[in-house]
Amino acid sequence: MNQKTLILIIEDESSIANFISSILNSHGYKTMTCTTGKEGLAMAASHCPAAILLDLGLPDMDGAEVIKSLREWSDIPIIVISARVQEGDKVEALDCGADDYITKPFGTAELMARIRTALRHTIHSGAVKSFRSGEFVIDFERHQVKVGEEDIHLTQIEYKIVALLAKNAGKVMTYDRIIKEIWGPYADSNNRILRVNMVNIRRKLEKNPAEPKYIFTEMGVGYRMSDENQETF
Amino acid sequence: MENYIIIASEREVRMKQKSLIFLKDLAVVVLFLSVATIIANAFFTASDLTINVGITYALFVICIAHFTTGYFWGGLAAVIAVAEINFFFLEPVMEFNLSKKGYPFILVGLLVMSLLISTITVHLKESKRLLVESEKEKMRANLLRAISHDLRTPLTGIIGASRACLDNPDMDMEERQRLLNDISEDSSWLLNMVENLLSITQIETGSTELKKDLEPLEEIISDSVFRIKKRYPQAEIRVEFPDEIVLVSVDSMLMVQVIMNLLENAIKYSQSTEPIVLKAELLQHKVRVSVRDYGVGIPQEKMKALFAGTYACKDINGDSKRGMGIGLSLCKTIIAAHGGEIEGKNHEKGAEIYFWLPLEGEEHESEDINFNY
Repeated sequence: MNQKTLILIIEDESSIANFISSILNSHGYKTMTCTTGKEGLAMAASHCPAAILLDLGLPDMDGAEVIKSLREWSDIPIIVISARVQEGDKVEALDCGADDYITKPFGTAELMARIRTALRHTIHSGAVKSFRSGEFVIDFERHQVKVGEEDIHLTQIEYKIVALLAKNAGKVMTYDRIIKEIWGPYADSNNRILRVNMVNIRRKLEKNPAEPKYIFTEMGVGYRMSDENQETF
Repeated sequence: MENYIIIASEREVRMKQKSLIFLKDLAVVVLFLSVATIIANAFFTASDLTINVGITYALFVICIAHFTTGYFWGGLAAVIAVAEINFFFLEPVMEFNLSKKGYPFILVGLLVMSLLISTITVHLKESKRLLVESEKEKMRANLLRAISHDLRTPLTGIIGASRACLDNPDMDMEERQRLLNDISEDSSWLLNMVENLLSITQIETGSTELKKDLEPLEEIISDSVFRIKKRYPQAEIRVEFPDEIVLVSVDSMLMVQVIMNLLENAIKYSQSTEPIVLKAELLQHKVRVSVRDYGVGIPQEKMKALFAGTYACKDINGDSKRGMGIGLSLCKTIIAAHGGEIEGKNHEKGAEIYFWLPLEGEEHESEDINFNY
């Protein structure tokens, strides 16, 4: 909880911007708000916030445009705020370079979880030997996965998927992105093989596959590994 | 802002549709009149029954009036038909001639008859269409009225509670928390209502197909359970899947809503704390999903109207605010749009609502297929 951490909110609905600011401020973050994409780009350039919350329904610019502009010169974590009917927009935003998304209406816990994850840096495989979240442990060096005391036997592909999600724990990974990372850039974007692999992974990892604790499905978008009680060593 | 863009593109679509319809009507007229002329000519050359010529054209004018839009094409066809009769089949042939005795009367008579025929046919079509439209409008109006009523209730609670907090800054913490909690619950309920409405509009657009993707049934079920547990943390739900991995071609958002609706009903109305059983079974060419509760069951009077959307149906407790209303009829529409069916029944220990969805081809995989490439 850094007093100086600045979050930029680009949102044209004042009541939403207000309550977001309020929540962030009460958790020790500094906030700035603006209501148009152009203003947002200017503010991002002049104030270099630690993270940006971007509404997808801005009056002057497409969310995707704002993201593309930003990504030309910056890696600032971007979380898009979307409404239910904008399924395609969410995925497009993520593919353009947004790091995560949050769907209206959302509560404090969700917002803070997203912000915390966004501010945390991605694990680079060289630097980190293993990752733990709750009872789930993955050893990147030995390619081993354990839940509690139990060793989990995963196929090569299944391990790669789990490792990818673990390295990006807390962040959503779109189906497309996972497919490209695991099967390469020319892979068929039909995600059926991925989905079936994931069902198998869940059945192996989760005590109750109906109520997953470690890997969550974001319907229509992708998968997210839990980063609760996360530790890396 | 996005709304205006949506309206503009709708106009474009409508204009394109109009020009397509124009071309189709024109084609119908040209085609039918040509066929009529050929048949009439056959009658004319083969026999002396010139009356058949008139009847042939009359029949085709009726057909044209039936298959085209509006009064224009039928009337045009009537005029052209009479002109053709004069040109091709009345002496002198291959000439427009009104000078022979009786011709003007014949032709005017023919013209009036054909115009009448075409006009009456179109009129009948229009009346039928207007009747269907007015029925739809009545249903829409009823739905809107019922929804407005249902929206007003939680809003009244929210306005009241928030005003009470604002007007009374010295209120004690406990009471303030209680009022804020009420606001939170009422808003959740409102959100639920809005989500249902959004789903209705998604389906009712008529021309747009559902956006279906192949999704593992397990994921849809776990998503629904996860969301329900957020709303009802005490709820106990036992889930049973088949061993095979079942993939279904569905709109995941809508399917999650259906299952959530069923689970919520079981939680709210079974009046039992026994775990609810959510079960998915793989059958021949279909998958069956059922929600079973071990509670009081569904009373007989409600059974018949269960999916009919008797909107503000009064509960046993008289809590008319949150009747089963829109939920189940919406579920029925969604399931039907996916090619399946939904039903409800009582079993010995409670109620069960179940639906099945069709599966095409190899949408299931057995567990031991390895994808090692």
